[in-house]
Amino acid sequence: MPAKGLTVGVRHQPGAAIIDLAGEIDGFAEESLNMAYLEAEGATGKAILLNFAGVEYINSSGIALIVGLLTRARNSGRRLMACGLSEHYVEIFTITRLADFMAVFPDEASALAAVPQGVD
Amino acid sequence: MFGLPRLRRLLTDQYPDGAPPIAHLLDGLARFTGPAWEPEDDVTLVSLQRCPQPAPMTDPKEDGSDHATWRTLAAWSVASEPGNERLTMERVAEVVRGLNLPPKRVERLKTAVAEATLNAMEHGNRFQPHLPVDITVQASHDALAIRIKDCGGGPSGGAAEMPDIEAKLAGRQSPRGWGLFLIEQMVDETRVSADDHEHTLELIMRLGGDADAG
Repeated sequence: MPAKGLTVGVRHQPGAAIIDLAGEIDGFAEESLNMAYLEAEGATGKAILLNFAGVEYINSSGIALIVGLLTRARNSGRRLMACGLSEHYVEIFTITRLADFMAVFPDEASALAAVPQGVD
Repeated sequence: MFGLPRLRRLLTDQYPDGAPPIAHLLDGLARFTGPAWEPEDDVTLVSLQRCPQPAPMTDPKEDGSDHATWRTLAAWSVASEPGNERLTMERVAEVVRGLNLPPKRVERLKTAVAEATLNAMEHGNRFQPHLPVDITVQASHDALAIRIKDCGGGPSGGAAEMPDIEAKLAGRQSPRGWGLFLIEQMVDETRVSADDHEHTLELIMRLGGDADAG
């Protein structure tokens, strides 16, 4: 099975930068994930939304990368959120307690609805 | 948090034959909390079910007692190359398809298998491609056993540190170290055996009844 890797894209919405993720989040995803986060961090909004709708696989190394992003967000006073996780990965986020520190929403619309508008 | 993995480890400790495990568990809890602990408002009750021995760690062909009970569904090897953990988890899912596990249990099994295979390739075989990871899938009427063996024999490195998200976010603990924790959370039981040449992790998932409810 050839590795699919991680594809990332960054979009900007009022009050939030959205990082669209597709593929696999494992140890190989570090560079692309960090680059995307850096771009999102450059936006003026205080919230960064990780959109996992296209993600098929997250392993323990991927969880560690997400912990790293969460640490960066907290240190800079940003709000890191997640949406689009499958039921299984919502369970993983709950078990690891990631969900205690980053709000998890079923989809992008519900996540953006929780972002205060006009906070650019 | 005391946590389910810690509870499982306490239950698999060696204590005097026939002695009830309750005292051992309470001792473990007392060691964890220390003397000045006061209960918080969030208390979780755990019910423990004593089950028959689910699977032999020894090869059934050598064991001589369980031939009729356990059947090998598949056995194969993969090279210690990144990405083969995904191949392994997909193949295990394919092998167990006929057992009609609920989708949620299949997803848990896939995560446990992928993490166990990754550990075997990384920590056991140091990602040396010529060293194989051997996978065996067995089933009985009420349990599934996946055995994952690497070439990392020798003394154990000691108990893995329990991942603590708050410590990780505060920089007191590495962001890594989730693998074994995830494995233990995803399946019903894990067993480890090792000698000078090999290390084997066995994942047990019970079939049917309440175990398959989700």
